[in-house]
Amino acid sequence: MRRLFGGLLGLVLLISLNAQAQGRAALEDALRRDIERARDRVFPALVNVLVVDRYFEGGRAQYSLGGGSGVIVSPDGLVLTNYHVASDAVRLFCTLSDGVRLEAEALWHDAMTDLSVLRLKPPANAPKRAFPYAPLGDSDALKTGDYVLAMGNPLLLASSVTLGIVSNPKRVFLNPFNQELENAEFERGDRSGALTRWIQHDALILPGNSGGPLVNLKGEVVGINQLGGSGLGFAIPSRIARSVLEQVRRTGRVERGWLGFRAMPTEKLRRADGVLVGAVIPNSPAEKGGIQPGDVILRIDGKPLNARFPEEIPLVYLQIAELPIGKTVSIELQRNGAQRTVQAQVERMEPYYGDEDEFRTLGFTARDITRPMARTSRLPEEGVQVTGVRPGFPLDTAEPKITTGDAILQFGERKIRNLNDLREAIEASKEQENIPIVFQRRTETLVTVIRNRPPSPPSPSAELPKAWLGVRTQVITQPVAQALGDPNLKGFRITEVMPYTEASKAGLQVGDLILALNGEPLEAFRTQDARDLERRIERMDIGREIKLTILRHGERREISVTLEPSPASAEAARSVRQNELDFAVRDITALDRMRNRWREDQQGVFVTDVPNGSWGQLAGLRNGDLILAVNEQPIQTIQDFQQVMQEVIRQQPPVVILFVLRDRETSFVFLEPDWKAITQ
Amino acid sequence: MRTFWLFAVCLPLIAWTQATPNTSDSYKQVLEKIQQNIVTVRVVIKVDVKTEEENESQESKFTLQGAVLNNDGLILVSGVLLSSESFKQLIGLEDEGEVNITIVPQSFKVIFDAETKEYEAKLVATDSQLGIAFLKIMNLDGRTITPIAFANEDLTVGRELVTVSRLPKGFDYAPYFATGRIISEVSKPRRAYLMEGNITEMGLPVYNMKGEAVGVLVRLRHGLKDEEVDFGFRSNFGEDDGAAFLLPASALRPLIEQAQQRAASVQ
Repeated sequence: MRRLFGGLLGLVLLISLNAQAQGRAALEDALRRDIERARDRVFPALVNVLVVDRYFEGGRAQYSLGGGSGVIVSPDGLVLTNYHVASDAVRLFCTLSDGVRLEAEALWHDAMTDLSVLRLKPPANAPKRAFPYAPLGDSDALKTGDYVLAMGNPLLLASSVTLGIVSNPKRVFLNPFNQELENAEFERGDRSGALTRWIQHDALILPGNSGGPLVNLKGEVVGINQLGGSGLGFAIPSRIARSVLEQVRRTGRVERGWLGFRAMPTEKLRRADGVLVGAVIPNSPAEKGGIQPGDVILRIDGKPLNARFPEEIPLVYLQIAELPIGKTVSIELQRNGAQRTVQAQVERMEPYYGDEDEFRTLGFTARDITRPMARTSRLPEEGVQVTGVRPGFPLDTAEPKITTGDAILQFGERKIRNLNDLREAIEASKEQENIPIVFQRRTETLVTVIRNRPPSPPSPSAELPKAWLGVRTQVITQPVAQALGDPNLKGFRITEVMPYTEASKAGLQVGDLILALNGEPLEAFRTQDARDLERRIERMDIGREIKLTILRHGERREISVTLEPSPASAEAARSVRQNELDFAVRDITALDRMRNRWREDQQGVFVTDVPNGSWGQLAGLRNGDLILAVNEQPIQTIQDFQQVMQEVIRQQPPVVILFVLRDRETSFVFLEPDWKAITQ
Repeated sequence: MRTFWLFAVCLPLIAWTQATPNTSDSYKQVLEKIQQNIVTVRVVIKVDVKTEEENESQESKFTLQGAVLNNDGLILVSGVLLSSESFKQLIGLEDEGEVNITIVPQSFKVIFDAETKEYEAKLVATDSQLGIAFLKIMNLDGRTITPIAFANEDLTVGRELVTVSRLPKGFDYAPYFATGRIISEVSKPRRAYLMEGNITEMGLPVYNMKGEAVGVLVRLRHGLKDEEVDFGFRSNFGEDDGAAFLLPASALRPLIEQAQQRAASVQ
């Protein structure tokens, strides 16, 4: 009986364990199916965003390539990505899931939410198409523990997906000491995040994921990935993305209402309603309406405004942002226990940083001063702020000089309110030699005078040539002499003969022992004597014929060699820039042939400069490539190159094919320039 | 008799004081003589760093001291930061690797004494092995300038020499001298003289007490790769493979002649 009971118990246990295992397997299968379904729904809409960024540094515009991810959110080709991916772009490309790369244009960049809205631009002659797109889901419905997928191009690896869960669907960043909200600041200092409660998750996020979608298991985009690392990811909720997208669709821009007070939570006041006014910005609607620090705002136009905890502050700002601009709103507040109502006219929220531009002839960059900048940085409300000055240019050489951070108030005779005024003032003064400038530095107003002179052209390489013998040598040390069979040998053993040099033409060979120069024995026998031969030759005249006494296979002989000039460095070679496609080339030098062991008759032009963001760089052209042909036209010298390129510029073919030699192998580089943009 | 002995004792003393020059006066005279040949040069360079796939460039400005070599405005300066080869040697990046660094000098402005006027100059020649360079002032506007005078002298260990430079603008470019002594003569890798003391500014001439240039201070490297570190040398001279040496005027002359020929054709 006992045995039977034990057996039955074992059977029940076995059945139960089996059921559990089957249940787990079923769950895993279900999850895998959900992931596949979500992936299949969103992958086709995933894009790889490639940008040519223009940024300002060191007083000039500079270019770099960058990239990230994006997602197509409408059949007519609207793409959502991050502001920090696309906002500096002068050129935008999106590679779709089918591998096709299309140009894109930016419709709006929203620093406040770190979102950019792009539109795909198929070629004009391409048939109209409906793009695959991903639907936006409801980020407010997310709960901690929900599965999410992060899709994108981490490390520029196309179309990747990682799985995680929602760790906190309403994450804000607080200062750990005073529990105040902290803004996320990007490289340029744009402030972002006052309106955002991020979706924190643990799906792996790497550089390149920025701008890509965070997707739920229904295949809906619930967020746009923004930040990540160390197992944490942060996505902008789709609720915010939807609001930005809809505004851009409707009006072409995003505008937000602003009242001009700093909101603080009411928890420390031991109350659960209202929002505490921490500060009132001067000249803001709040100040004009009579709101004071310490007031507790209860309602705006009858709608409650509540922030008991710091995590609720972004919702307060969102509510204010949605107020119609220009509308006079009724604000109910409590002050010192008494209730009152004030009126305030909603103004447009201004971006923190103004537009920036380069003033190339004078060698500096500057940006518009916005009211937020003026308030926080003790800048004048009108003027432009200098953001960079090139050394040696007029603002740098003036006394006193104008430096980064100074605000230009007057240029010549003209008062400066913004960048447009400055452009006009510079144009108006271009014939003037000395131009007075009034500028503000912190709290002082100063005057300087700049000398309006064009910059001097850069100096080409000017290395003095020396008499040179095209061989490399080692000293015949005593042990080496012994090994060679004559311990009394002194001089130099040739270790390398440079091809195509007088030394090679004269018949010098590796292994030859140079014992005398012009009949005078060489006394070198220690490693520190290594430069003696070179020094003696340097003191001679270029073109002079010398006699070397050499020992070869036990036999002495004299070889005459003409001394030639030391090989010119690459910088001394003639160089030209192809302006339309923006890269520079030079002729090959003898040193290039020697270093690369090319044939003496090797022709072509050496690529010396492929600027960041240029058509060449986008096509993969590299510094150091040797161009052998352009569109099947052989290139031997710079003159050939210039002639062929002239014809290419005239014909403007859709693709310019360069046949190049790179690292001893040939390759093709396909440039696809936008001729319209180039010739504008 | 007493008078005689007093005179006999004092006479050598009197003779000695007459024969020994007043040292502070000598330095003052040398400084006054040489300082008119020393100019301040404001330089702007661009440093391009290129790999196969990317370019970065940065502009930099600094000042150098220079010495006037002739009446046409040929100036000798330190060339360490003015040619790609010298710069690469300085930072130890001589082999052509994946990174290519190019120095492109952008502008040179020469200032005499503490004047406000600046004279534009161009680079006409460099010697990257010695780390020196030659500039030419493009337009002297009729200004008369005084070149340095060279001396043909045999230099010996123990000899005390002088160099003159200028303080920065904040000190009104005031000239100052520095003294140093030859502490060694080397023949490898070339004939030169190791200096000790306060003579440290590369590219500037070094003078005898008559105010004649006997050579120029350059940085020489021994050129032997993979040599073990000599801690004594490093602690004395701060580097593993090189130090400041006086290159005698005789070695400099051919370079000056070449630079003058180049300068004559620059417009």
